[in-house]
Amino acid sequence: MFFLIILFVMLFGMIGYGVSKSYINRKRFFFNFDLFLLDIKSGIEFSSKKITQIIQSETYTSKDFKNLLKNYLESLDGEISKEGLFQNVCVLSEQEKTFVFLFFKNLGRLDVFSQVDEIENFYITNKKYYEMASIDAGKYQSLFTKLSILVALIIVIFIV
Amino acid sequence: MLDFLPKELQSMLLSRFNYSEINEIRIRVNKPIIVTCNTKQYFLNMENSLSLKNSIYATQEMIDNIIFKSSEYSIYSVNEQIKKGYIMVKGGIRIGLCGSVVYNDEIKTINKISSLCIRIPHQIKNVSLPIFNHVISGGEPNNVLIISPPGAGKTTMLRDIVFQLSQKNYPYNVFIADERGELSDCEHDMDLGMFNDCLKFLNKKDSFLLGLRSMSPDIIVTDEIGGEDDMLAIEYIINCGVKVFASVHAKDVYELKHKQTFKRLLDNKVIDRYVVLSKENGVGTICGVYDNNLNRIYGGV
Repeated sequence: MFFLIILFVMLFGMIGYGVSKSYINRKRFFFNFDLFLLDIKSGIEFSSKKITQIIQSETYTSKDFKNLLKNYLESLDGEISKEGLFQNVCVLSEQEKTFVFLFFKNLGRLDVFSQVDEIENFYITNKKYYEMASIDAGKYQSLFTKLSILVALIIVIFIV
Repeated sequence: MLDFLPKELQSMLLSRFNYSEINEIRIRVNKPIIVTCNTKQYFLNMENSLSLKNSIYATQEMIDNIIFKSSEYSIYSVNEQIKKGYIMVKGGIRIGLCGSVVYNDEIKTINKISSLCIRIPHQIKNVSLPIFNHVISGGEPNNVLIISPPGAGKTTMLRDIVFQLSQKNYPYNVFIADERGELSDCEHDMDLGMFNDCLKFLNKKDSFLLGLRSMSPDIIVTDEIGGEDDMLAIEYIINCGVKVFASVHAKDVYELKHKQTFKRLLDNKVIDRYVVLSKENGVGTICGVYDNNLNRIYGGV
C-alpha cells in the first residue's frame, strides 16, 4: 500500500514537471539563441563563414531551436514567412516570435558592419528574454511540481 | 550555373538562349533586362528580339534577392568583393554592381544596389591556336600581353593559352594570379590543364610575390593589369626570370602607348609579344600580333 502511495505521488509529480516543461524549453530556446548569436558574430567577424556553414556546424540542445534553424534553411530559396519559420516551434509567445522573426528576416542580407550591429542589438534584447524565461521556468517548474504532488497527497488522504 | 537568378528568370533565359552563347546579362532596377548573346543585345521577352514589347522589368526586390543568393545567403561574407564593385559566383561568373557607395576614408561597402552586370565566362578551346607559336617560340615562352577592349575575349584567350601549354606537353609550372577569380574556376568545368596553380582574390603585387616564393613558377598568368603597382610587379617578376602572360584593356597598341602607366614597360621592351583582340568578326577576333618594337608580325584581320 505504502509503495503504491509513493508511486502515485511520484506520478503526479512527474505530470506537474511535464506541464512545466514548456517553460524549460522556452528558457532553453533563448539560451540556444544566445549561443547562436555569439557563434554568428564570431563567424562573421573572424572567418567570414557563410550562414549555412555556421548553422550546420553547430549543435544545439533545444529541439524548438533546431526546428527553427531547419525551417530557416528551407526558406532560404523562397520567401521567409513567420508561419513557415515557426513551424513545430511552440514555446514562444507572439511577441517573442516577432522578435526572433525580425532577426532571421535580415540575417545574411546586410553588409558586415550592419550585420554585426544588428547581432549586437538582438543579443542585448535576447538576454532580457532569456532572463524572463529563466525566471518563469524557475517559478513555474517548482510551482507545478509542488502543486501536483500536493494534489496527489490530497487524493491519497481522501482515498485512505 | 545561373542558380543565383530567380527561378522564372532562369528558365526563361535558358529557354530563349543557348547558355554557351550568353556573354552578359544586364539587370537594372525598373528597367528591362538585357541579354548579350554573341555580341548582340536582346531584351528578355517572349519574342527574343530587340523589341521592348512584353519585356521583363527588373525590380529592387529581384536585385536584392540575386545579391543575397549569389553571396550564398551571406552578403557580409563577400564585402571585400563588393568594395571592389563585384561579386564572384561559382563558374567564374562575375556580377558587377552599381549602387550607393558607403565611403569613409575608403570604400566601406556598396548598398542600395540598383544595377547588375552579370558576365558569363566560357572556355573556348583552341581559340589561342592561331597565335600559339608567338606565345612559345623556339620552345621558350615569351612575355605576352593580350590587348583588347572589354568583352572581346582577353580572359578566354589567356585561359586557352594555359590549357594549350598543358595540351602540348610544355611542362612549365604556371602560376595564375587571379585577382577577381575569373580566370581559373578550376573546380567547375573549366579545364586549365595539369601544370597550373591558382591563387584567387589577392592583389597582383602580393599575389606575384607569394607565388614567386611559394610555388617557383616558370610562368605567371594574370588578367587586366593597369595600375602603377601592377607594372612594377610585372617588371620585378620578369627580372626574376619568370615569364608573364597578362592582359590589358585597350583598343590597340597605339592606345596602349598613350597609357602613362605602360610607358616604362614599353620603353624597356619588357613584353615580347602583344596580341590585339577585337569584336570585329565576333568575340575574340585576332587583329594582330606585335613584337617588342610594336611591329606587326602576324596579320590577323
